[in-house]
Amino acid sequence: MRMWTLARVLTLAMISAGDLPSVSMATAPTREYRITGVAVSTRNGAPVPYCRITAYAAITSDATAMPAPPPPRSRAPGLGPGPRGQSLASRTGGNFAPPPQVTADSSGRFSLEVPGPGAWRLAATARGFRSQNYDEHESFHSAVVLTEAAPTFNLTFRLRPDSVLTGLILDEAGDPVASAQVMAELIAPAGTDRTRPPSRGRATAAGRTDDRGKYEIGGLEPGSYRVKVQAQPWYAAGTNGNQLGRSAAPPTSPSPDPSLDLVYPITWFPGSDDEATAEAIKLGDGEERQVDFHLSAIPAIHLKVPRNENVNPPAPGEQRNRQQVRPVTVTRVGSDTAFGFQQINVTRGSQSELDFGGLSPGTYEIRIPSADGKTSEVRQVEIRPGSQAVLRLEDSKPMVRVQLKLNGSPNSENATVEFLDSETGARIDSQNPARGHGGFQPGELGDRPPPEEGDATSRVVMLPPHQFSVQVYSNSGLYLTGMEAEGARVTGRLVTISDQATLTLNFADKHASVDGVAKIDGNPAAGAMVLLVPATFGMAGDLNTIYRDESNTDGSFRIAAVPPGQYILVAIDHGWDVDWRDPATIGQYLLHGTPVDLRTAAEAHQEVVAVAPT
Amino acid sequence: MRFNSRRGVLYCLAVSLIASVACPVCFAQLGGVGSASTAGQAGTTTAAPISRTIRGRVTNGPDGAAIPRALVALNSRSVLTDSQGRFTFPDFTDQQAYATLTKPGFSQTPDQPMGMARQRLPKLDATLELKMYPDATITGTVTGRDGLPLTHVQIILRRAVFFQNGWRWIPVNPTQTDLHGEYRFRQPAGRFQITLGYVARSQDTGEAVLPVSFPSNTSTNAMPYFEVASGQERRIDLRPTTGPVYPVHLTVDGQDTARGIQLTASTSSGERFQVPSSLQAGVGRVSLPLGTYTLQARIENRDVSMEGTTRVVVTGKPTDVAVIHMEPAAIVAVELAITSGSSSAAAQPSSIQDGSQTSTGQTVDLRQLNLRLHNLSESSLPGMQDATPRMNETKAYEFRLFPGRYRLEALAVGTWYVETAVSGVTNLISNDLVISSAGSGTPVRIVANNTQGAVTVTAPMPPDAENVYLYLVPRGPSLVPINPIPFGMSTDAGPVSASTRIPVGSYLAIATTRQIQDDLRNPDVLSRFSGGSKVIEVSTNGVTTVNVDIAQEKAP
Repeated sequence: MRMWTLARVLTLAMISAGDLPSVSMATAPTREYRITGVAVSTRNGAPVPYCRITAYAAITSDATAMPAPPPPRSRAPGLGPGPRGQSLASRTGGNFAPPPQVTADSSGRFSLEVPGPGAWRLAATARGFRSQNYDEHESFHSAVVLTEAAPTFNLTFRLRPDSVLTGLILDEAGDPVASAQVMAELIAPAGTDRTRPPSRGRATAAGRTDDRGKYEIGGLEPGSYRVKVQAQPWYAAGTNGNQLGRSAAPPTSPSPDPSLDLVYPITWFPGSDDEATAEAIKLGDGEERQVDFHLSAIPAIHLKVPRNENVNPPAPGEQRNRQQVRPVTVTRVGSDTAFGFQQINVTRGSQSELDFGGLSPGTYEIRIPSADGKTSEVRQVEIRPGSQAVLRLEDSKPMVRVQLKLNGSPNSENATVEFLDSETGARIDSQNPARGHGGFQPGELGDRPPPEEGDATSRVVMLPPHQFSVQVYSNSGLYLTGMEAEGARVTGRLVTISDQATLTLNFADKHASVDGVAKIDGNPAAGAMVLLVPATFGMAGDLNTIYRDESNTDGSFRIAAVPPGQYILVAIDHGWDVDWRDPATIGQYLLHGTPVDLRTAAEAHQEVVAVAPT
Repeated sequence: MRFNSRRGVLYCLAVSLIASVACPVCFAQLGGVGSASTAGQAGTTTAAPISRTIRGRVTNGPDGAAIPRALVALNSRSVLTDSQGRFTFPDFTDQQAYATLTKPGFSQTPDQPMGMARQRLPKLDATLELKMYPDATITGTVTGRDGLPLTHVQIILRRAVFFQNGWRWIPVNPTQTDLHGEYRFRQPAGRFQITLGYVARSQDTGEAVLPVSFPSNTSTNAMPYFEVASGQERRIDLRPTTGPVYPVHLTVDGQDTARGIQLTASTSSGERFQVPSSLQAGVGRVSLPLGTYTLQARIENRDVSMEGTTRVVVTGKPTDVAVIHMEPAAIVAVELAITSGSSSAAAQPSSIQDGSQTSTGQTVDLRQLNLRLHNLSESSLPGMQDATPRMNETKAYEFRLFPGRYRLEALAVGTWYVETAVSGVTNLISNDLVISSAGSGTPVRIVANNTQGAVTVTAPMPPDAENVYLYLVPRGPSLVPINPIPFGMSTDAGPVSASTRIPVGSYLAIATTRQIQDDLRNPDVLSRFSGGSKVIEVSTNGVTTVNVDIAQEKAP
């Protein structure tokens, strides 16, 4: 069962109205549907006493397999990946009856009655165990299928205990660094994806140090993490006061003492300022690991930008309201900021130029509104470790104007096109300008940006001259079928921008689905990884991705909302450690796979034989 | 200053407090600070600005140990102290200097609640001896019924601060318990109350956690606090009541819509918390653990003020029911009259509803008097304690008051002050106002005056680099706020003086070397400071001048 499907619980009519945790049927049927078992910890096999088990009903719906449109930039650190275990019922708080729930006894044994047959998502939580689903892998799990013929099911619910990262952050003098933000990013589990850059900002958990410099990040899903620290020297706060979100001293404040005008670069464990050389920390089930940092301060970098009022002085006799000229803004962009961007405040100013100080290495966007306020010049500067202390406008690069043409579907006007910068990890979105907002661009906090040029199917977006991976999000399940460019190089999903270009994106929105049963040795293969691999996978220029599902307790699976085409269906029993993104690895399994033709058939049904992983 | 929102009241008080604490001397003297070019012109006319090397040391106030790596800012320059706590400012040309000391875990003054105080340095020749005071630590563990720690629950810390006429709670940023159920705060020394907030569903047990405070909110003591001294660690463990929640069928009547109904519950130990509920047309459900509670429903916005309470016993049976009948708040009109004693004429009262005009054409607006009624009976949810007068449709001022007991305060700015305030026969300056039911209450009649006299107080200069403050404590009931007035410091060793204008009357003048965080109207508190102080009579006849000694504080 796939989490996206269950995120759209459509009806709970099967659950009779009842306010108390254990539900009893009021009407006639004599058959009792029950899920029983024991909850144990994967760490040592010991039972999990008083574990709380909840069953959520799911109607398999045509929920799109496409990723849902991203929420507006709320990439705030959460408590780690994984389902939160909250049903529509408990969210709406009252109109729906709560899902059946039971608390296990002191030996971890439980017996949960459910109102009827069907596929039930079983979730468990306990002290020290984040809410997790039965037989959970990534965003998938195995639903417990009850039928009239088989109304009960007994299982062993193996829960992975939470991992913990803790440690001390000390500064160059060995003093504690308070209020430092520590972020742990889960590294994508199965190898590297060759069609998109290493996932950044995905599944990040964060903690803050206290006055002793101690931090603690709990509730972590076991796995491999990269850990980084963002902090400011406490003695620099009053002087430059401008690092990653602090409010600035007024622009007329005196210059900071050079010996105290220091910043901490973003530091990756064990102590590098470059993510590429960061060490991966592997956290086992229930493991607590100590990860300490010793930070070294570097001179703060200042970006000096001429005041834009002086760029185009008013003509003699021309009235210009000073207020109307929007100020120059500098914003830190990229994956190392909590929300994808961070506004930088001016620290000092003179008559002719603005000084944005307290900068640490990273990527910054400079937006200079024109004198009439209608357009902005947008530039980007990459500050590397070891950069000189003062940078000027000439050290930045202008962003490139790219014309987008959206082709192929009447719904394409509402699509959000996302450009993921391969170098910096920044995400730039282009949304329908006719909606009035022009997207949530960095540097325009609280300010209504000038409307982007164009109409629904033709847009303009400003991009730095880098390589991007293009992704599209929409409510109607649009997907990219191809891209063509004038003035830029396109390979599959990647486009390399160097100068002004026109990019044509071809969309389609027709979908197909396949469901079936996975079997091994004639018996249902439960918890198998089922893959629907496009026949063109691995070929240059291919835009298609592999779609997956996990088989339920009766071997059943469903993969919906895939673009029509030719596919090969593969099921791998206990195959969750297989590097399915690697064409060479998956190639062996394809030889034993079952072809599925979804070019014309909207829905296909297929039985598939699961193989053991090699 | 007029505040429309209750929360705004607390914040504005806090900001005013910071301003008065952080820069008392700034208010008095602004000359001579700044760049070297202006300093040179301040005093002598022909001499070039003196350049000197300023040396000093920062030590720990309680034990005198050196403080390494402290940030010392002298005017616009700053430097870190070395391992012996020493600092040097070579080529210092400013004639006067203000010092700001910063270090994590320390504050510049022993008991100021917040803000960076700046110290005026009278002498720059000798080696400066500056002090910092270590923060106190408040920490503890929260455990549930099973004796196991409760993680991720919110802990709220509040500091009790005496500001002008009354005690106020200033909130500190709340924190959450960690994975071991531990919480930790580091704060400058002072008086605090700590509260565990209500948790509808614990991450650990799935059950509700009822709020608990230390010291607990008993009805007799309006401001229960515990005290921590500088550098002290105080451990307070909390064992709240926990348990599963059960639904109670709730009906709220007296108001058509359910929009904006704020529902709170109070436990029998005086803990008040907001309860989540969903009400449709006044009917719905609220979930609470077993026990006895007082449920209060309140609607408060620009147009409507209504409230109702009921007692409910949660037994877990489907028959648990609660009904709340809301009543409108009592409307208490505010009538303002004025007297003005300019020259020696007799008082000439004239009464107008909202603003008043004297025969000489002076006007006063009720808002300048900054009246508020501080609710003594409400155990506090932030922002719900003070009532301020509001203008109604007929442009007259009124209070909207829920049943309770209130004390009148007037934090007036400017020259106008409250001379008398009565409600019926109750003198509101020395008594509380009791509101028992809805409907119209007896109007509050205020007489304002602007007759002030001039006072100058001199005191000997204290030996160390310290600030000196003047307090003028009214003798007898009065609403005049008692604000610290900083003494101007002299560069030689002569006496220092403070001058101000204050409403006419009889006062006790006290000079101290630190700001007093306590109610000087309380005779017990006053008796700790009176040594060296003098009684003065302030009138309109010339400047009242008096010389006092610096009061020594006797340990309580």
